[in-house]
Amino acid sequence: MIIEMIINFLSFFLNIQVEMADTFRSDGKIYVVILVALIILIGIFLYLYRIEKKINDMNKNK
Amino acid sequence: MEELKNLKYIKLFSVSLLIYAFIGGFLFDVPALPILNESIRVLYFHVPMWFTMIFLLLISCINSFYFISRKKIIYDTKSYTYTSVAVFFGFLGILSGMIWAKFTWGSFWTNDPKLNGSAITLLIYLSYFLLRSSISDEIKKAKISSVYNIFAFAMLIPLIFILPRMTDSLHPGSGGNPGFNVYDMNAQLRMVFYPSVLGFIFLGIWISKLKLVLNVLKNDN
Repeated sequence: MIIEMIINFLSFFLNIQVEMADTFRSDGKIYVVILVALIILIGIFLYLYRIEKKINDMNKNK
Repeated sequence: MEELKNLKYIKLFSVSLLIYAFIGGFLFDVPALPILNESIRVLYFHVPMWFTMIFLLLISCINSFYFISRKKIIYDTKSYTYTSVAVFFGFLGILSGMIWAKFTWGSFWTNDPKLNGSAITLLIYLSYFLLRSSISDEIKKAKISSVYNIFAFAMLIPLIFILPRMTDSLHPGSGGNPGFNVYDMNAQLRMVFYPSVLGFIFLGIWISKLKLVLNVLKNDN
């Protein structure tokens, strides 16, 4: 706690840059939207692929 | 197949509304808010997952009622199909919500009552599938799982709608109804949000109908 405060106090004067995943948060977090949209699309495609596979398996068994 | 007869308009609506939602979701103006920034657009994709899940679970619950009153196995097959597609949408909702939470709230999972409530709901519905696979007799399976399904839907309402609104929640709508709150959503957001919800619901119905045909054929074999 105290060490943290000292580091914060020092970094204010030394202007130390804390390394963060800033590139992913840049451009107003628009990449988060793209990632979410992709996850949903890929999820739906995989689910449809699974249904298709079940149908194909059933056709083979007939 | 009779199930696929009325699918033409559902497919048309689903495709056109979703194309509109994906274009509008990325390009239209959104309110500039701190912390959220552009990620406010996730609203168009994350929230419709839950709307779709709840809509499909409602249809599933109604079909369970039909099975209990009319005793035809087709209603149980329908209810099972709608539940399985609904749970899939629920998982997409959780995944998209986790990504959104990481970049706005700072962690993938917070102890927000809505998150825990939806996780419990999904677990309840997962045990519905376990229950079904544990009973081999068809009629018995249909009867017990119908009753369980109605119970599960009755549990969903307090877990997702009532309890999170009674306490402090990071989600909008604590202490009231987010649907009527003018500060949470403005006209700009609604213009893409509602078409997106409808598009995903129609997509859910479309997938369910396809799966239903598969499950009916499987039962006949």
